[in-house]
This record gives sequence, C-alpha cells and structure tokens, in this order.
Amino acid sequence: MTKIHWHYPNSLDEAVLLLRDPRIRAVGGGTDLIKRPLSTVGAFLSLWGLNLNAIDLRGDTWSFGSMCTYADVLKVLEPEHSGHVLYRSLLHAANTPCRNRITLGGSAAFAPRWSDLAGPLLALEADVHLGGDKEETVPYARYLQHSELRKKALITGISFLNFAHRAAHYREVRTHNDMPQFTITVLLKMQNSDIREARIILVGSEARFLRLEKLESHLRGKRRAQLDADALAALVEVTFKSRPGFDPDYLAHKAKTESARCVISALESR
Amino acid sequence: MKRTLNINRKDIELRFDPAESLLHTLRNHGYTEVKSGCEEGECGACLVLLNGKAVNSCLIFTSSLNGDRILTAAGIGTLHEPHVIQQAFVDCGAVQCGFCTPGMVIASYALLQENPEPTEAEVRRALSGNLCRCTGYVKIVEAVLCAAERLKSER
Ligand SMILES: Cc1cc2nc3c(=O)[nH]c(=O)nc-3n(C[C@H](O)[C@H](O)[C@H](O)COP(=O)(O)OP(=O)(O)OC[C@H]3O[C@@H](n4cnc5c(N)ncnc54)[C@H](O)[C@@H]3O)c2cc1C
Ligand code: FES
Ligand code: FES
Repeated sequence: MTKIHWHYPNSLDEAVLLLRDPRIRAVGGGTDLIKRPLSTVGAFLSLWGLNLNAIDLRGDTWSFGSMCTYADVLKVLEPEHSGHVLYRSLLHAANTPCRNRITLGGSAAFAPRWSDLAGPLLALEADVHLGGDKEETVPYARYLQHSELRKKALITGISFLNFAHRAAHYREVRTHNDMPQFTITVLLKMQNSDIREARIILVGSEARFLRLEKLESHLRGKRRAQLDADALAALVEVTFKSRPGFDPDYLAHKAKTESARCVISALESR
Repeated sequence: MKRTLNINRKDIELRFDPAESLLHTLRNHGYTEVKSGCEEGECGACLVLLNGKAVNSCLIFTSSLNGDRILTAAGIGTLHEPHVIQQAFVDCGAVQCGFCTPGMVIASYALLQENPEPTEAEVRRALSGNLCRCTGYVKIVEAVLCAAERLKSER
C-alpha cells in the first residue's frame, strides 16, 4: 500500500493553507502527476471540489477557471470563435480523451516544452490568477520566469482580452499522436490588410519560451504582397539542445521555415 | 482506500491503493474489458466514459473520484446483446485481435452521443487517441460511419 494521503478541500482558503506544505501537490487533471515517482510527494490535494471551472466572456475579457479542460475551452469557442488562437492551438493538442482531462491550470503550471497552451497564452498576453498568501494576478510571461511563484502559487484562473485577430499554430510532430518537439504560435492584429501588431511565440527551443521579436517588428505595417517566406525565415534566431532522435540543426532549420509559413498561414486565415 | 462509484449503472464499492489508477482499480474488480496497453495516455486501450466523457483510465487517480459515473465497453453492450456500434464493428470487419476494440467502441460511443452524424474527418479526430496495430483503421472508420447510419435509421 502506498503511503500517500489525499486532501479534499471544500474552499480555496483551505486549499491554499494546505499547499503551504511543499510536500503537498495540487492535482488538476492528474495526467502528468500520475506518471511521476511519488518519492517527493507527501500528499495530494484534489482541486475538483473547488468549482474552478467557470467560463465567462464579460465585456472585453475572457475568463477561464483553472479546472477547465482543453475540451471545455474548445467547446465554448466553437463555432463562433473558431479562428481564435486558443481554438487553433488546442484543437490538435494531445488526443481526444486527454483533452477531456488536461486542465488549463495544470498545463499552465507544468508548461512542458510540448505545451500547446503556453504559446497562445503568451501571444494573448494572458494573466494568471493566483491564490496564495495574498491573491495576485500576474502576466503569464512573468509566472513562467519566476520559479518561486510557480512552486508556491495555486492557479485559480486565466484571463485575457477578447480582441479581433488572425492566428495560426504549428506543431512539430512526426505523427499526429506525437507530443510536439516545438510549437509556433502566430497572432496578428490587423488594420484592413496591414499587420498592425504581430506576436509570435516559439515554445520548445533551448530558450523554452521564445518571442520572435525581430520577426514581429519586421512585420509591423506590412501586408501579404510585401512578404517573402525566405526573408521571414532569415529573421528567426533560434537554437535547440540535442535530443534523442533529433538533430538540433534540423530542428532550428525547421523552426525558421515553419515560423515563416505560420505567419503566412495566419495572414491568409479568417 | 474505499469509494463508491457508479459503474455500468450499478453502485459499486471499490477498494484501492491511494496512488492507484482507475485502470488498475477497474481491472482488479473484474472489469477486464478495460485493457492495459501503454499506461501513458497514448494508446486508448483503457478508455472508459467518465460522466459521459471518454477518458484514459490509466491517467486518472481513482482517489480523485467519488460517486462518479463510469461506463465500460461491457456497459454499452454485451456478447448477446451488442450495441449498434459493437455490431457494426463485427459486420465491417473492424476487429482483428480485438485488443483495441473496447477502447475504440468507447471513443465511438462518446462521439456519436455528441455528434450523431459525423464526417469521416470527425471520426478520425475522435479516434485520435486510439491505436490499433492490426486493422489499419480503414475498417474501424467505416464501422463508426455505418453505426451512425444505423442509429439514424433507428431514430
Ligand atoms: C499522451 C499525452 C500527450 C500529451 N500531449 C500534449 C500535447 O500535445 N500538448 C499539450 O499541450 N499537452 C499535452 N499533454 C499534457 C501534458 O503533458 C500534461 O500531462 C498536462 O499539461 C498536465 O495537466 P493536468 O491538468 O493533468 O495537470 P496535473 O498532472 O494534475 O499537474 C501537473 C503539475 O501542475 C501542478 N498543478 C496542477 N493544477 C495546478 C493549479 N491549478 N495551480 C498550480 N499548479 C497546478 C501539479 O501540482 C503538477 O505539478 C499530453 C499528455 C499526455 C498524457
Ligand atoms: S493504457 Fe491508457 S492510454 Fe494506453
Ligand atoms: S484489432 Fe488488434 S489492435 Fe486493433
């Protein structure tokens, strides 16, 4: 019998108090935790009783509770918002049964290199809402950079502004069942046919979460007819660490080419 | 630990280890139609419906459930009273060794509950978490589309 205790808090305050103990781990979907060795875990804390699954579009802001699954997000965006960057990215993430279980909070906290969520959240400049000693709302980009926040805080929700955009999301996979080696997320704000602002995120390279700023600033004010794919690819500076089965130079070359293609596909999308 | 779950429409008391997956709990209690394949969420052999949604039972801690509804392939239909989907799998030659079949049936059932008239692309997407080493998938996709047709004419 494994000596592991479970807590089932009924309130956020209770959960936050318990999570001060570093040996207690919050369980969202559990899809990653169930595969981990238990040696460092003293107890699990189930987040399922906390009603953290509300979804709301109020005024100009989308809010998602941290226990919403990938499938919940797709369902609420379909069909009216099927051009939304989050819809495009989560539609092919993992596989159908996994999407029914992976939670936004668990995925945002874990943020693996194969994440299909981190790219769109960074492109949307999303905020994460944290329950902790003091409640806090921080940009997701900051959350990812601060390991202390990541260790201590419980994500209770995610929000971002609702604005018109064009988007594309690329997953570097060998078969559709693969976890991506990297993903590219492109979000474009348009003014008629011109790009007013570009946000391009590459997840999974050596830098883990990389904003392609050179490419973004090159695109500002441009339209489709002014863009050349080879010239766009040349603006991407990216390196990969060696991985079993993957040559880092190949991955870098592929990331450059696919970033350019992704920009064009976002521009041509509706 | 002890917990009661509603499995195939009956309340069943289960005993399990606190870190055990639902897959192992179900198999230890005789629900051997739930197959153990990769135990990593990749193959879909362990699929069950949890409160109406297809999930990989190998990725779920039994301890995170309480009173939830579980449906396995045997709860959908049996050898003597097969469900339309199960019969379509037989009729279309979509079963060879049969190891993936319970998971395929669960994924198809979940799809047809939500979308009774799926396109071929929608069937393939719904089955994207189920691997089959024998059939090459063509017959399986045919079987799901055939089941959808048969269910439509029954309505
Ligand atoms: C076969 C397979 C394929 C996959 N493919 C992809 C893919 O292509 N793209 C993709 O994006 N993902 C993919 N994933 C999902 C990914 O690998 C993780 O399993 C998932 O992100 C974990 O989410 P969860 O909700 O299950 O979190 P859990 O496993 O419950 O937790 C993960 C970590 O986050 C912590 N945590 C959980 N909830 C919170 C919270 N609210 N606040 C703070 N910390 C929290 C936990 O303590 C733990 O440390 C795949 C998973 C599997 C099994
Ligand atoms: S055994 Fe669960 S997905 Fe393979
Ligand atoms: S019939 Fe053998 S694995 Fe599918």
